[in-house]
Amino acid sequence: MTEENRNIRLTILKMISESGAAHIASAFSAVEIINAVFKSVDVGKIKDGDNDRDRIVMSKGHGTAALYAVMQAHGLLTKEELDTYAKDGSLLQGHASHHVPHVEHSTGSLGHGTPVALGMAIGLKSRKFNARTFVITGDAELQEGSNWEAFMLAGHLKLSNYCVLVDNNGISQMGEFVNWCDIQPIGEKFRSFRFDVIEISDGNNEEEIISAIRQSGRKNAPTAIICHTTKGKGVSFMESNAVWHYRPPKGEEYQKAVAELKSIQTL
Amino acid sequence: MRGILFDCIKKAIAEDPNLFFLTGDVGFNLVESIFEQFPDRAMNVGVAEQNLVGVAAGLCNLGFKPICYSYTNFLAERSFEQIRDDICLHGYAPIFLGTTTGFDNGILGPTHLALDDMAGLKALPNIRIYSPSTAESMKLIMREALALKNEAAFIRFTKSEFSEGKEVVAANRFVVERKNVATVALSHGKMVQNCYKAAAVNSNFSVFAMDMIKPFDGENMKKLLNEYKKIVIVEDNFKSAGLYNSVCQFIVENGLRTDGIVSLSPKEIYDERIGSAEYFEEKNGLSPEKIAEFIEKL
Repeated sequence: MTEENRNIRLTILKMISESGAAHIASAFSAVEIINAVFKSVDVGKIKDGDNDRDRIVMSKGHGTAALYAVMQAHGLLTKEELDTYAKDGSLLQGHASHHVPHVEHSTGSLGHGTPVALGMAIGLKSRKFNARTFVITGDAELQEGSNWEAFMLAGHLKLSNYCVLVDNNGISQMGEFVNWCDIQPIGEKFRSFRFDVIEISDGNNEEEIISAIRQSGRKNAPTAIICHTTKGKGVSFMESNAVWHYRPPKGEEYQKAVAELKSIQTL
Repeated sequence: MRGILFDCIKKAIAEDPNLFFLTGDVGFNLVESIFEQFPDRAMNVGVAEQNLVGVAAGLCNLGFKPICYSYTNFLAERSFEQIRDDICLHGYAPIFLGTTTGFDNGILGPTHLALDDMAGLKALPNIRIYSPSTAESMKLIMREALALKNEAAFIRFTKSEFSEGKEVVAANRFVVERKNVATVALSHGKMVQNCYKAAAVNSNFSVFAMDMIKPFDGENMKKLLNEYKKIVIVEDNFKSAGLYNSVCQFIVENGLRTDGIVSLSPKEIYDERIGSAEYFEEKNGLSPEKIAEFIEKL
């Protein structure tokens, strides 16, 4: 884990602990994916709101604490704004909101971001812009059928500017969903939908994700980057434990989590 | 009505580079020329209404104004949450065109009827609902919808053809205005033509078309309440999901009179029998003859 991504986790931990919000483990899982995407795009164009900017859509909207913490790291949100996260009267609610400047689309109900991002990719092509669309989805989110409607069309259209990043941590709200509705093999499913598929065995390795994004979009097909991540990554008692899908750390739990994150030997 | 609609669409797309036509695999022999003329701004997304609306939202993000075409019931109900979250929540302004209303698809069975399509849509902010009754009304409504910037428009229209034979100046207007009568039939969509035909055999009532369902036209409603003792709301959709329901809310909220307000609409059931639109209209008291008879007996 890089020092930057460790610090982003500390920020997320503070945001969620102070507000009592949910989804800390979902946010920890996706930190490297989101940061890799922001490092791969022209953030200046996003900041300026240029119409030929790359689009980033957080389809797994419940991981939005990670999105906002990463956006702050890229100068798209201030620390003061982050401090309001999930508190009364804040724009920064527990799911991604387009009322927050530079957030492309509000999400929360699963399976919405992928079709919307597809529309953005189609629109970029129609306007003859070279920009790309990156959509971050959860693995359990892929149980929603609307995703596959979008993927079917993206594959048919050979939309090379459409890139789906899957946070494949294997755990949904109720636990390990392999036990009730397995979605594996995800890679084969995407291939059968005519995607170029890149699998990353350590989906919490930011460099590998950046490298995969660099490789993507060159073929005449949309890309699926499947990142095998760990839910709750960075705090041992949260890792792969479904309890932390909802539960915010309080008191001693918070202190313990801070201490663990601070003790990580960063890269 | 569809002929005029597609003439409007083709002309508008030619004039406005921000219009983008999407269909959910509907419009055989109607939409092909749009794809030929505007390959970069027209797309058949396949039989996938959720994706249709999601893609439309993404296009709005790029500054396009999508025109989305499908069957009324699939568009309003299959993709309801996409309309809510991805369109209305964002204040986007696509135009949804839902073909077939009421019992138009009667012989195809209850899955293909549009009796309850407005129930959910009426509750959503940032969307207008139109139910044009004539080709001229459709033309006017399309002009209004194309001009909307921060509101979506849902236009549900019947397969049935009807013309008043004159230009209309407002979506909500008298189609038959008679002096010194106590009753007005307040209607929208296809039922306006049935009321019009009913008025030809019963001269005791006026016919007012309220083709803009939402936002509710309180101004005209107040005038009708002042001018008529009896207001019969005639519609080929469930009363809980249409104009009657809006009228009731309006009069209660405004402390207006509630007597003399009557609904003439289909029973709120899913009929196990199938049949033509005329069969169902007759069965539900909505044929021109039955409407005339109903008002006669009031």
